Parts: sequence; C-alpha cells; structure tokens
Amino acid sequence: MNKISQRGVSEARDFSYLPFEQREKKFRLFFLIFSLIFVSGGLLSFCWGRFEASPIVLARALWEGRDPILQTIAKIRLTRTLLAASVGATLALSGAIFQALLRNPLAEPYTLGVSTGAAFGATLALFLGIVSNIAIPLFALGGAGFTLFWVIFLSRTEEGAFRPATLILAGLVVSSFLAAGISLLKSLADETVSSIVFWLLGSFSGRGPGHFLFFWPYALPLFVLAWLFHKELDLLSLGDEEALELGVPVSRVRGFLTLSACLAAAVCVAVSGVIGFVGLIVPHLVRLLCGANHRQLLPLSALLGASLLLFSDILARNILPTGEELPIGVVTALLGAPFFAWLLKRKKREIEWLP
Amino acid sequence: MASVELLYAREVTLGYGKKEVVRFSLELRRGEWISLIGPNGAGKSTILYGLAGLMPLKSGEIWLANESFTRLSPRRRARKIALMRQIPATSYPFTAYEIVLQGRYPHGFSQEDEKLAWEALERVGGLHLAASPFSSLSGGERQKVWLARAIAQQTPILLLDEPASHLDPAVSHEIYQLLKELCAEGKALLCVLHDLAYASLMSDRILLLKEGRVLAEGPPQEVLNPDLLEKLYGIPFSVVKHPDTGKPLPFPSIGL
Repeated sequence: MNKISQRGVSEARDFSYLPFEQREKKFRLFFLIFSLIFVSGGLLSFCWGRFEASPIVLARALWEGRDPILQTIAKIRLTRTLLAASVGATLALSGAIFQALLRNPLAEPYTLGVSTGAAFGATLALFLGIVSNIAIPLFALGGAGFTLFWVIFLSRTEEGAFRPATLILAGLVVSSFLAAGISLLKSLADETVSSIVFWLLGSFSGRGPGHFLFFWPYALPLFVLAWLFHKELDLLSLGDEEALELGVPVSRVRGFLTLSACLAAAVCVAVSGVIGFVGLIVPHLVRLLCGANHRQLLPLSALLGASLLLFSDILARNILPTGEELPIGVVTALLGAPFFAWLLKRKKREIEWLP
Repeated sequence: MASVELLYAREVTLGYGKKEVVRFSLELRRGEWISLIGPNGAGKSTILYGLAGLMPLKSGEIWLANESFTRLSPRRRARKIALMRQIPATSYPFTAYEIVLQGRYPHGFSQEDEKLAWEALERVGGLHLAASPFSSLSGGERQKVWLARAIAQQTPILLLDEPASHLDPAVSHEIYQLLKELCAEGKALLCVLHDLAYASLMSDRILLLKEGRVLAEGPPQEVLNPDLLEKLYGIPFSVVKHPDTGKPLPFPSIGL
C-alpha cells in the first residue's frame, strides 16, 4: 500500500458517511418546511378572497350543499387552488428538467420561449375556430415544440454545444416573433379572440373543474418520467458523453424527457396562459438550499413551485384595492425578473461558461 | 497472474460520417497497461471513444472475454469498460461524493453503492473532498474525484485519456502511482499519453499511432527508439536510460 491509500484510511474515521447522512437529513427538513408552506398556502388560497370564510365553513358548504351560493364559491375556490398548485408544480419541474437537459441554469419554459410558442399555438387554434379540449393543448404542444426546435437550431454551435447566453437570446428572438404573431391574430379576429390576452400574461380567473381534469393527463407523463429518470438527469446535466459512457441510452431518455417537458409546459399555458420565472426561481432556490442531486431537487422543486403559485395567486386576487384581479404572470414577473437580474450579476461567470 | 485476454479487437475502423479516422487491432490482458502514443489527430482518443461506446464501429469486431461487444447493451458494456477523459465543467453544485456515486449507475441500485463510492473516494485520498462542490475543486482534485468515479464503476477495463494533463509533477505522479496499483490488482488499462517518460515507465506495451494506423507495437524497450519516434513525430529524438529501471527515456533532440 502506498502513501495515498494510507492517508485515506486515517481520514475515513473522521468523516464516515457524513455527507450522505447530512444530505438526507437536510432533504427531510426542507421537505417538511416546504410541505407546511404548501399546506398553509392551499388553505389561505381556499378561504381568502372577496368573500372570506373559515376553511371549515367552506368545506362544509361544499360537502352538504345547503347554501348553493356558498357552495359555488367554495367550488370555484377549490378548483382554482388545485389548479394553481398543479401548474406551479409542473412549471417548476419542467424548469428543473430543461435546466438539466440543456445544461443551462437559465433555461425554463418562459426564457426558452416555449411558453410563448404554446400560447401562439393555442391562439392559432382559437383563431381557426377550434375550441375542442383536446385540440387546443395539441396546438399548444405544436407551438411549444416548434419554438424549442428553432431555439435549439439557432443556438447550437457546429460541435453540438450550447452557449447558455445564446440559448436565452434565441429564446427571446423566437418568442418576440411569436408574441407579435399573437397580437396580429388578435387584431385580425377582432372580438372573437379577445379573450386570448390572458395567454400573454397568465391568469387563473374563471377556470373551472374541467380545466383541472383536462390538465393532469397532459402533465402527468412529466412527473412519472422525472421520477423514473432522476439518476439519468444527474448524469445528463454533466454531459451527454459522460452519460453515454456510463450506459445511459442518452437519445431515448433525452427525447422522452424533452417531449414530456414540452407537453407539460404547453398544457400549463393552455389552462393558465404564460406564467414566467417560476421554473427559473424555484429550482435555483432548491439547489442553493439542498444541492443539485435530482432525487431531492425534483420533489422539492415541485412542492415549492406549487407553493409559489398559490401565494402569487392569492396576491393577484387580493392586492388591488378596487377588487379587480391582477394577471398572475404580472406577479411572478415582478418577483422573477429581479431574481433573474441577481442571478445574472452574481453568477455571471457560471452563466457565461462554455460547455 | 495468468494472462487472460480481456479485450480483443480485430481490424476495427472508427470514424465520423463517411470519414475513417482510425483502423486498429488490439489485445488487452488482465493486469496489463497499454499506452497509445502519437501526434495530435492520430486517432488515439478515437480508439478510446469507440471502445467506450461513444461512437459506433464502422467495421471489424471486438470481443470482451467471450461476449461480442456490439451485442452488449450500453449498461452492460459500462460494467466492463470505464472511460476517464477531459473532466466536464458544470455550473450545478454536485458534491464530489455525488459525482463518485454516479459511477455506480451501470450496476443499478444496491445497498452497497454508498460504501463502494466511499471506498473509491478513499482510494484516491479524496475523503476530505466528499462534501465540497465539484466545481470548486482544483484541477488535480477534480482529476482524482473523476478517477474515483471510474474506480467505483468496478470495471475490469479502464480507458484513460491523458489522466494527468495540466497537473504539477507531484500530483501527476500520485495519479500514475495509483493507476499502476490498480493495474497490479488486475485491471487492464488502455491509456492515451503524450508524456513519453511515463509511457515508458508505466506501460507493458506501447502502441504507436500515426494518421489512423498502428505504426508499431511492443514493449517500451523495443519501440521507444530514435528511428521509430522520428517516424512517428517527424522530429529527431534522443533516448537515454532511466538510472534506476534502465527503461528508455526519449526526448526531442532539436536545438539541444
């Protein structure tokens, strides 16, 4: 035995498995904290609004149905709460997954332009007079996929690498173009498509139980794949060749994950419009608190994303003194853009790093 | 130790698109260290990438013990062959220990994984790095952690692309020593090297590659002579003997 291994043995006594146990403990602690935030956000969202009531009163009205008005209010609130939480969890998860797949800490459905692409697809469907619940998310998916293809095509270098900053620039270019396209369609269609404004700013206003049921079949694949492929995501976020070398079927895993992340981002847009920055802020906060390992990053991101949108929606509903609602995309942008700026300033070196 | 043939490659060609980059035959035995030397662009790294499954074979055949290489699933191949090449940069805060643990991926999940990853990190003398973010480590530390990852992969064959590049003499010597130990324990090593002194001191056999072809193959004493080296690199070489081992130590004789 040489010098190196002897030194290793003496250190083993001081450190024994410490980092692993520490990480597990940290994970459990944050899971508990985030769950508490999530539950309190859910309760608050359920009972705080123009009509305030204790959650017990609302739950009883929902269950017994003796007071039809109160029951309706409770129903709308419950749907809205569930939908906000679902969309938040999905956006945060797809952000974390795009960040791993593209090895880019700035990637998320909004910065990549995928959300705007989906909004364009949905607007196009409405413009063509299609209102079916199946066709609209498919159009949104088409728009999202189209955008991602162009963004990757524009930012890819000849060696197949991405510059993080170029990727975001390409996302900006494509999404500005499509946002203009949405405005154009809106002007062409006069009043019929005027409701599409919400697709540019995002809102949970007037969403019913149908939207919630319609949402999950499209979002679920991402949650299942995230759970199945968390180890592969660790490897892919270091590099395709590093993953290949360890036996990951890279192109298959990458294909499934990209498609399901696009689909999930598209359905988020189809039910609630473009809500930016959730997929950016949340995974970053989780990484700062709990590390980059996807086994912990993904569930914590989903939980925190759900909480963030619950609280943003509470703000959006209650902040204006006139009683009107603020689009939720405005709230997340107000929170997210400064965060993005902070990230740019503080992590400049990492962001400009060349893969 | 019986010289069991671990890897046998016959008339293998590798390349990108239609272009053929390298054509070679190779036998690698248990506990053997083979170095690949040659000028830049000779196809040394390409051989490693082909054997690690990063690019498909264009023709020829490779056998791993009694199994056909092309029929192995990527995961089963990764249980037999590990590759250590340029260390990737990452902006995500993975800890060194997490990086090493990733080496267990091809074996699926087991209770042993944490212990084995821990032992691999201990093996390279990197336990004190376990909880530090990989991106904050120095070049030498990263190289050690990445080597621990390859050790945790527990493969009989280890492919190395310049395992000690950009490191100071002490750290690179430490790494070469460690590799030699692994070799003595029965691992077979195929190593791309530019450092001819270490190629001479460490290898059992050396493959000289030029323009995608094997120029010569044999033990260091036979192939590291001024004639072959001049043919290989296109500049004159002088060779002296190592004072302790008697192995050849080549160096370019231009302007000296």
